[in-house]
Amino acid sequence: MKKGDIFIILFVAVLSVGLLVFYRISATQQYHHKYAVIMIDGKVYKKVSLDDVNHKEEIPIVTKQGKNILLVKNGGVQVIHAECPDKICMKEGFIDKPGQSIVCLPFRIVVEIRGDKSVEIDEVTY
Amino acid sequence: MVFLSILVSTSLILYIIEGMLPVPFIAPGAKLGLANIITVTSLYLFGFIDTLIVLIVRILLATFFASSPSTFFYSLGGGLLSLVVMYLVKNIGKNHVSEVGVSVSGGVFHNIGQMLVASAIVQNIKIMIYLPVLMIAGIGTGIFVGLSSKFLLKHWNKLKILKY
Repeated sequence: MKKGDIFIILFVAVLSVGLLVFYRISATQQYHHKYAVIMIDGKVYKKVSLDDVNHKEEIPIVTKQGKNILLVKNGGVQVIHAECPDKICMKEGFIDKPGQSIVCLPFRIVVEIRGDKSVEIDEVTY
Repeated sequence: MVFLSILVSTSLILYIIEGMLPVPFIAPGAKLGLANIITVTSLYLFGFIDTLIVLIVRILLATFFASSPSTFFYSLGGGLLSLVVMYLVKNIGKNHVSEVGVSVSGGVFHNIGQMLVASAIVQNIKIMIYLPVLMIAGIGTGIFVGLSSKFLLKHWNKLKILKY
């Protein structure tokens, strides 16, 4: 280990911790509505409102390569079934805060939770 | 040439073995990057161009042997970016940076490159949110990889065929 090594390690550590703190701060904003957006190939596949905590639903996401099942519960979402080889999207578990997302790279699926500050609902479909 | 193909096959084996290991990290998608040991070692032994050949052949073969075609682009994006950065760090740092620093910066930029390719493929820049966690994981694996190639280089001299 030389001086330059320690400098590089410290620089990267400080940078990534700083980014993490920045994400945390920007994620703690209050939202009136939150909803999950399911995107395939960058196009919106479906939007689900997460305002109702008791709402429970299983959404199949069908792509050309295979099928994943998304479970909506307790005001959040979780991938409970994935046909992709690595199953990383299942390991990411349950998410319920705006800004969080689940990514399935083999199927090019992104599930993202977004918040809405305005009181009126514009584009949320059930 | 023979040495390059030995390096390619070694890194390929490391890559396949790594695929069999369970992932011990919390962050999804984080890996040890064992094949990077060979990339770092080869960069010290043979320089940029030869390492580029080793890297590209390894990624091509690894795609055939171990993984699905979609991972090819992530590996290539991450691998190329990390190699360029490692080369720059090695040459700019010269005597101030050892194998550990080179491989840590390589590991971190491997993550950055992969995330760039991934966000281009799913067309969503927001998955960059995973980057800080992967970067921290990259420091850990980078130190490990750097120390490994340091030992490898040390014992390479015992071969007495090719000194570095």
